[in-house]
Amino acid sequence: MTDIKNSKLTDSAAAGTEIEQKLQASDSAGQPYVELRHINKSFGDFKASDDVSFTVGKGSLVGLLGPSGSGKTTILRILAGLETADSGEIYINGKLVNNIPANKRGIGFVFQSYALFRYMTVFDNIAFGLRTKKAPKDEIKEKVNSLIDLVGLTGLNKRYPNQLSGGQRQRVAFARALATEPSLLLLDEPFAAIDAKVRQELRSWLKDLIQRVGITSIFVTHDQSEAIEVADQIIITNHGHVERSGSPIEIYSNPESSFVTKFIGQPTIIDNPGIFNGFSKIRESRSTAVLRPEFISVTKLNEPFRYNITSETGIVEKSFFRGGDFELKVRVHDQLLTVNRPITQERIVPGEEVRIFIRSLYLLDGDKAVTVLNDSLTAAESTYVI
Amino acid sequence: MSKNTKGVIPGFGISFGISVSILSLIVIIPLCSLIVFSSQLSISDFWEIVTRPRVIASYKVSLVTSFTASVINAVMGLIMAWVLVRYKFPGKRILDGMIELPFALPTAVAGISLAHLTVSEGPVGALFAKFGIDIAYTNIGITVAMVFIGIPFVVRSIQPVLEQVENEYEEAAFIMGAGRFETFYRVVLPEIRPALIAGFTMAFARCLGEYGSVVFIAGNKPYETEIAPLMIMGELQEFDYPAATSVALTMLVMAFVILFINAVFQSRASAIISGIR
Repeated sequence: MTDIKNSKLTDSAAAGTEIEQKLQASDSAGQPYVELRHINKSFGDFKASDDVSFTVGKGSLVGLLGPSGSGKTTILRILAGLETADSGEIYINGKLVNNIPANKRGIGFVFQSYALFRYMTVFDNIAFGLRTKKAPKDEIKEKVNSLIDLVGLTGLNKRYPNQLSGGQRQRVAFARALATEPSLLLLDEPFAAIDAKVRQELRSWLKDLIQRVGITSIFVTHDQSEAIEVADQIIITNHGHVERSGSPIEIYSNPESSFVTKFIGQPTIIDNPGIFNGFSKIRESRSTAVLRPEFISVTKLNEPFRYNITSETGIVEKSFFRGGDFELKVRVHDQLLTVNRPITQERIVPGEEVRIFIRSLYLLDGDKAVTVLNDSLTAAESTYVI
Repeated sequence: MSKNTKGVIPGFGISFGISVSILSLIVIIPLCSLIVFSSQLSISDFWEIVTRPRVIASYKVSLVTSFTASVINAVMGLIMAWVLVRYKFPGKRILDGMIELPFALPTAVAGISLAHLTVSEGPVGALFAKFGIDIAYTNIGITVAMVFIGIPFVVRSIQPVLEQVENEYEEAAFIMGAGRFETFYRVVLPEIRPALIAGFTMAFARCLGEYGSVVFIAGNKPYETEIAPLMIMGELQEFDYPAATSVALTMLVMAFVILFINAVFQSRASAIISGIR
């Protein structure tokens, strides 16, 4: 921490790479950089954190994903020192930080509402942390200007936050959090306050910038597409505990737990999956399963289809245009399935009878979820594929 | 304000008409009459009246005591507003309601009771008399009365603004390494500064014009504890209306200057907040 503080940025253009080099120099590869051990936190009767443990590698970009009220923001605030855990340990860079107050922890925090100081210019906002550290004036000026260039706000130094667009404010908040060269960057719903179009652009901008700066970052989101797109590692929380942790691809393609299966992707929950053709091996009639649109193909009755025996027919009830494709709601065995049909294929209209082929599904078994393939796609002897 | 945009509740014409009429009837016409009365005097006479040593002394007393009282009110009012907004405690509602009492009480009642308390034989006055401090019939007494009548202005201007200052501002400052004092001074204070200045100037203007509660405690010694409104009262009792209105006009100008400075500050602050520059 101290060696980072003492060094200063010399050239604004080289700002990103210089920080990158600095952080890589002190890199201790393989070891967890941030570690939470058995964190518990209650607000009255409400258990916000229930035995939360996870580790974050140095330089990685982690997304804390969960439904609202699942305790993800509490974890972030405990990490920052804004809340105190009832029990458990927090380690940052190998050091126990439980008793270090937030203003000494050296963490950058981007608030959901950005919390930019309204009566300060962009420059003064970013300079805030450096001024509290009593950094020399010319060093502050140099540093802040290089950060303003880094986040692409050149020329807006003298603007006030309310003269900026939502996306620009986020960039200021980001630069402000980075100014003191924190060891860890925390972001609470960083894109929630931004309109959809700019959000898309800022996601890739932020990911790119965090990678360039090389700072270990944890962000909170309730939007799975955001987590999947931005994070290197996703930690899914539910009812205050960590449900699952892994890379976006791992979690998406192998959700493992029942909760994650019902949370990730675009799930349709069906009852008694055994009645669907190709899944007669599922004997338990009270079981439930989760389907995703990408597991199902839909064809017109007159279109040739390979697996006729293990397919179903259903009636299209609704059709929603989603841009690239149509989202169809098809009723099969009195259950409503969601399937996608590309716009380039022949149009299917509501009321039409169609052929539905379910390639696979996630069978829920208590807390677990297992993949079950359609009979047509498996060899006769192996029924369950995990 | 444009006629082309229709609001949910229409009637710009009639409501604007009523506003202007009321403003004219109760504010502009009486103020103009001041100028009309004063203009019966020549400029040199006017100048002589408003610069008599006794009148000058009364301006000084009024300005100094009003300013002191408003500074005290600004500090105390800020603390009271802070307590009322930030903390939960039993009796909070009652305390909140008591802030307005100085508005509701007839000022003469306040003046009499304050004078009774602070004379050297009174319960509070006796306490200070031991240290050789006289409150009643001195400028201190005038200031005490003014603090009493001015406090609601400050509390009530800061309170709603402070409620809007989000906890996140303080947390953001804290995470960036700021201590308590620095967080307050650099983050919270700028947010409430416009309201604080507004409360200060309103209290100041009100104190300048206060008569009822002050005269009982002031003692009204010429050149020492005579306030400017008392000079106006004196002229009126001698039926010298032009002289009374001349002094009144001078005070009006003072009050106007104070409120104008406030207005300039407020418009600058709101320009920053609204993002229009």
